[in-house]
Amino acid sequence: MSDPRAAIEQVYREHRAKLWRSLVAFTGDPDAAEDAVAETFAQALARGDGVERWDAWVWRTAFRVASGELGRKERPSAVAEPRSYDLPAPIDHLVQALAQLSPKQRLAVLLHDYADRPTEEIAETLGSSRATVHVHLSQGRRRLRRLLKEDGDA
Amino acid sequence: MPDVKRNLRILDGLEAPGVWGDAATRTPHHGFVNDRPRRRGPVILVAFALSAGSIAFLVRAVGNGTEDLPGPSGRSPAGTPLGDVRYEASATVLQDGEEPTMLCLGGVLLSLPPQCGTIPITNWDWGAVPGEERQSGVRWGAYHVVGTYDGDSFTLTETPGPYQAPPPGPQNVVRTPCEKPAGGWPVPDPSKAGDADFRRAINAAEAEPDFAGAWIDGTPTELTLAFTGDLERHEVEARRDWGGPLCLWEFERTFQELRRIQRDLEPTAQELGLRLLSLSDAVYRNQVEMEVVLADEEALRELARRYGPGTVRVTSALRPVE
Repeated sequence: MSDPRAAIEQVYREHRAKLWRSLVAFTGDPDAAEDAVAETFAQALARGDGVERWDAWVWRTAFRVASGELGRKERPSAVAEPRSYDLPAPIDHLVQALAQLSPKQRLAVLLHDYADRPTEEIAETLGSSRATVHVHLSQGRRRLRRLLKEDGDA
Repeated sequence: MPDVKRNLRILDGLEAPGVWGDAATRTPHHGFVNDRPRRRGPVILVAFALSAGSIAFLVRAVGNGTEDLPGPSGRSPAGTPLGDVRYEASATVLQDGEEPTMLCLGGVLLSLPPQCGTIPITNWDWGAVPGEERQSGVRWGAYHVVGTYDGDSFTLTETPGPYQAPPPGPQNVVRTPCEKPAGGWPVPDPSKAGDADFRRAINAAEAEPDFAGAWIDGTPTELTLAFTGDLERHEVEARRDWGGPLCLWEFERTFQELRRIQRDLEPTAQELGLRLLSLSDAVYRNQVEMEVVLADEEALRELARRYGPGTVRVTSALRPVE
């Protein structure tokens, strides 16, 4: 598509909801997810041209933005930030289970098994090889399966 | 489908911000996102409108926002000539240098300076309004405007007033549609009321050809399964997996139908001369939501004829003045 605005708009329409949900699951924080989506699309608009596949760019950038934010959040803070709303309990349980995965495992599982993003793209997001993505994916799935089973049995 | 993949599908029940809300509470600009406590990104962020498509709108708004966009077909929502009707909206108004002053009906990119603009305002006078901000040659402010719309531009008929904030939006959580039984929800089998159980029930429901939606609410979990018919059979089947609070709900259209309609609506909007601001599904209402600058009755009738009455819920950003 030659018009980047039209391409970005199409990606927004098609991917925004799933991207936000994936980021909620990744960060555990709907506000952080919303900010990451907003910043990603703002960056896309500012960038304008020179991107062949905007969907891949948006997913990659959004998770990088969210990862950066996550890194900042992991530093100790004296002030708890308010959450605008609570997640429904079962989703909260899933998000809590995902939080027990390493960030790379969590990212691989969410992008591959929830968002259906291609392995090559996930590898680029992680800055690793496709083989490494499969390692994270396999370990993440195993761990998540166990955590959800424990959760379900409880 | 691998089990992890199935388990992650529960995330689909999480409604993205901005798509939840009754038409009466939806406004074309500035939404609850701005009104509720939330952390702000340090550099740049987008203030979403209440509609899901603010970015979509925004994308159009940045730069030459009006080119190549279909305008309405010269009719007001009531069918009278556009120029004879007065409309109102509360929105950001922005002017970049000597460019036309723009009315921003969807969203604003809160960079510094901000960027936005859906339709030009022909007779804006910054000297007549208080509270404008300026940066890098851009002037902007939030106002309530009343005027006429000819399909391309907005002409003020009154001096703009202060921005009228919409009422706070509801929480972004989908609710259980069944009424809570007196005495509370029955839990016929507590041993099958865990998270893994409702996931199994949802997975089984999704495999049904008449599946229309599934979502959860409350604590303990209230599971809603929607189908286009045969609820008794579906209830029996759901009870094999789920022993907690259960709501069976009948919808007219299947989930797959809704998805097909949503895909079809973008070219349809263009064909009908509707300036599209956003499209989003509302599975829990069995509808597709569409926000446009201005919808006329003929277009609404055509949407109802093509997709069925009530299937597409249309919100106009410009509201006729009562």
